[in-house]
Parts: sequence; C-alpha cells; structure tokens
Amino acid sequence: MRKKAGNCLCFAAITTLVPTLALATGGEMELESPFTLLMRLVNFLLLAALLYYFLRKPIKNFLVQRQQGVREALEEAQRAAKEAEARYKEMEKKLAQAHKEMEELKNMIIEQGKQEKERILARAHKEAERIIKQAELAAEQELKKAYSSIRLEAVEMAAAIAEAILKDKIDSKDHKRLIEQYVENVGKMTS
Amino acid sequence: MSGIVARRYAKALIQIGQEDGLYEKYGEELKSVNDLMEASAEFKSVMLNPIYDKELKKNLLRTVSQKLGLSPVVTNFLLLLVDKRRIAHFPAIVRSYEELADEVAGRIRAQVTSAVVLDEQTLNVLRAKLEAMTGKKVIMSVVEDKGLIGGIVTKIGDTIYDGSVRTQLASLKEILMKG
Repeated sequence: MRKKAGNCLCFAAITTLVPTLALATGGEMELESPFTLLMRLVNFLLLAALLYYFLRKPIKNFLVQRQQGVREALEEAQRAAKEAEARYKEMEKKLAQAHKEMEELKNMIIEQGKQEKERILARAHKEAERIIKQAELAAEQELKKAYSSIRLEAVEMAAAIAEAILKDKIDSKDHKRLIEQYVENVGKMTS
Repeated sequence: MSGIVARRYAKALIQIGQEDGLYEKYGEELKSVNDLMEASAEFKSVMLNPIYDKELKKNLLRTVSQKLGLSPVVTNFLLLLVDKRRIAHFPAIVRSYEELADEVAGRIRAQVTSAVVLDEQTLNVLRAKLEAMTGKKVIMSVVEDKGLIGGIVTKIGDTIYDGSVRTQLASLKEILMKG
C-alpha cells in the first residue's frame, strides 16, 4: 500500500517537473533560476503532501472496500459453484431416480398391458363361445320351425286332399252307413 | 244383462201360467207375437225403438192382441213390458220362456245338423235315442249342411254330439300335427 503511494508521488513529481525542464531547454525562454526551481519543488511537495493528507483515507477506504467486495464476490462465486455442484449432483441423483422410476413404470405398464391383453382375450373367447352357442340354438330353433312348417303344410295338404276325395267319393250308401252308425252310437257318445 | 232381465220376466209369466195351467198357451201366444215382429219390420221397429211413444206402442199391442186373440194375461204382460221400458228385451224373453216351459214340461230341444236330408224313420229313431239318453221329450229342429261332408251333429243345450266326417278329419289333422 505504502509502495503504491510512493509510486504515485514519483509520478506526480515527474509530470510537474518535466514540462519545466523542457521549457528551460527550449532556448526561446530564459532559464529559470535555482531558487525558482526550488520553489517549484517546494510547491510541488506541498501539493503532494496536501493530496496525500486529504486523499489518503478515502482512497484507502475505497481500496479496502473494493478488496472486500472482490473477496466477497470471490467467496460468493465459490459458494455458488459449490451450490451449483451440489445441485448438479442432486439433479443427477434425481435424474437417476427418475430413470429408475421410469423403468419401473415402463415395466408396470408392460405387465398391466399383458394382464389386460389376457383379460380381453379371455373375454373375447367367452363372448365367442356365447355367440356360437346362441347361433347353434337359433339354428336349431330355425330347423325346428322349418320342420314344423313343412309338417304343417304337408298335413294341411293331406287334409285338403282327403277332404276333396271324400267329398267326391262319398255316396248315398256311405251317407246311410254314417247316419246309421251315428244313430246307433249317439247314446254312447261323449260330447 | 239382457239375459238376466229376460229370464226374470219370463219366470214371472210362467209362474202365472203354471198356476192357471196355461203356460203352454202363453208360450204359443208369445211366440206368435215374436213371429209377427220377425215378419213385420215396421211393427218390430215401433216396438223396439225407444223414440216411439209408450201410448202408441200400447195401442198397437192392444190391436195386435185383439187380432191374434191373445189372452188377457199375455196382453197385460206385453203392456207391462212397454210401461217398464223392457219391450226391447221381448225376443230374449220369448227365448227364456221357451226354455222355462220346456223345463216345466220335461222337454228338451235338439238341433240336428246333417250332411244329407234325413228321412222320417231315421228322425224317429234318432229322437227315440235322444229321449232315452236324456230321459226327456225331445223336440228336434233339423238343418242340412253339406259342409259336414258326411254324418250328423246334434246340439242339446250346451252339449254337442258330433259324428261328422268334417270333425273326424279335423281330429286326424290335429293328431298328425302333434306327430
């Protein structure tokens, strides 16, 4: 710190004295006397002393604060890096956990899918069996119906033919015989 | 409802007829009025239609009674039916009266339907058989119906004695249907 202040004073002295020396070596102006140079030096030293006296504390404070700020910023950066690393590790862990969960979920979904497939297949088999049975029953009923219908038609036809033949062939002898039979049996008939 | 009313009136009249022993005569008189109604659509219309006045109906009945020579009991019975607004039930009353008269007389009516015309001898034998079977005197009405194909059907009350070929064919058909 002290070294830095010395450097500043040297820099101020050079900047003050060099122009004076330059003017003195120009030839166009007269050379100043050693007294004047001494006065200038004294003047400069006084100015330097004043500057040092008044600016020392603020500059020091400023520099201390800056140093402190830099340190804090550095610490903050280190802490942030540590936090980031910790978060990174945590995220990595979570990611691994998520991968694991995803795998489990995938397995579970596959298992459920298999079970659902089996269930659907079982239901489909059952439904197919029911439909087949129903179809068989319906076919059987249709067959019975058709058989009954054919039978009915045949009987109707046979009865119609028999009636037509009877109407055509029945004669007075048959009528007489039928009447005699009826009269003979009417007492024994049940209604 | 009509049957109940008719039977009640017929019963009342036959009780009078049984008391004075003239129920058969009253029956014949009722039948003659009913026959007249069947023969004359105008007479029937006046008697059965409620829009005609009671007095008009009663005067008409008195005239008919005089012409047919009806007994005072039957005449008064007909006038009572008009007064009680029951004349519309007259045909049903006549039928009920016939049934009651048959019961009282120990008769029974048989409707004989035959595929061919029956001769007198056959009818007599059949009547004798039916009388022996029922134990009552049988009055037969004979109808010819070729639809029977052959044989006879006799209906006595609610009982039917069926000896027709048509019914035998129907029975055969039923047996064949049942398999």
